[in-house]
Amino acid sequence: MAERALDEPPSRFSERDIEFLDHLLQDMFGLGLKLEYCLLVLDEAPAQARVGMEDVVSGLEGMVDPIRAQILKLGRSRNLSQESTDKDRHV
Amino acid sequence: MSESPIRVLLVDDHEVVREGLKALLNRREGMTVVGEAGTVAQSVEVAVKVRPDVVVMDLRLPDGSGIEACREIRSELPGTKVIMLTSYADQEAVMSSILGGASAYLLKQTRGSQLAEAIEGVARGESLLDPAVTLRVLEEVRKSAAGKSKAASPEAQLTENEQKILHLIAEGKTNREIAAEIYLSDKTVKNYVSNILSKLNMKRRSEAAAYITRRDIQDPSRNDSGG
Repeated sequence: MAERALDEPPSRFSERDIEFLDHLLQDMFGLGLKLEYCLLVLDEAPAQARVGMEDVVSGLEGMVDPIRAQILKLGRSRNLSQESTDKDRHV
Repeated sequence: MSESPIRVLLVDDHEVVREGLKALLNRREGMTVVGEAGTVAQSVEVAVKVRPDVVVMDLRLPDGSGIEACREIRSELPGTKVIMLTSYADQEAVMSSILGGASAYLLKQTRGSQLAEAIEGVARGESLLDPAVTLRVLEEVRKSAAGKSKAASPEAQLTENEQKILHLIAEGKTNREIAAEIYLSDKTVKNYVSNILSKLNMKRRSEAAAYITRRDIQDPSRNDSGG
């Protein structure tokens, strides 16, 4: 079981999946910078900080849907691979 | 009398990263973002136009590598410093960036304020490596140095058999004893010994024995002939 779990990731992660994760990482970094900026201006320009924070919230919201879709896709591909393994066993 | 601000060019294909960096760096006293680019081609074009003091460069760009862009910008504008800002502590990328003329290699986990400090340092002529990549670079340098010193050692000129015989000489064995141990004739061993001494530029076998003993004392890890 553990051996199979170790075997699975390379076959399940395609170049596109890696690109997707990289994109998420960049977005998180960018949003983090924006939040850091909001913290810096919070006292002197609260309205500006507020606008920035709203941007960050929107950015995070924008990340949720693609992540959800990716998890579903990975779940589906795992189920398909599980089904085909089960079929092979029965042949 | 105020010094002129550090002029920064941001190169990253992710707009959200550029936006975050621009907001933070423009707020920093003595620093101003003078341009942005999202590709290698754009970065060179914009750099030549705005002549920045420091370029903050992503490693992975849609039309090529940031290292390539770094090289081109540095050849056009030798006074411009380049900071590689990337998500990955890839050893090869770090070494290529350094060789490509980058002044710093930072990971995208660096806080904006630290990045601003890095930009100021690089503008003053300093070089910086993210602590997460320093260890990898040191390993690479050590490996390279070890390779060079091994290649430079007189022993590197000896064949495998000659090295084996050299170690047996160091153990104080006679030609006959060596011959019996490695299943060769006395005459062949004599020829080997003569070749070894000639390659090591020595006259007597006692010199060869002393050389091996001295080397093993200085670097015990190299004493791999026993057992």
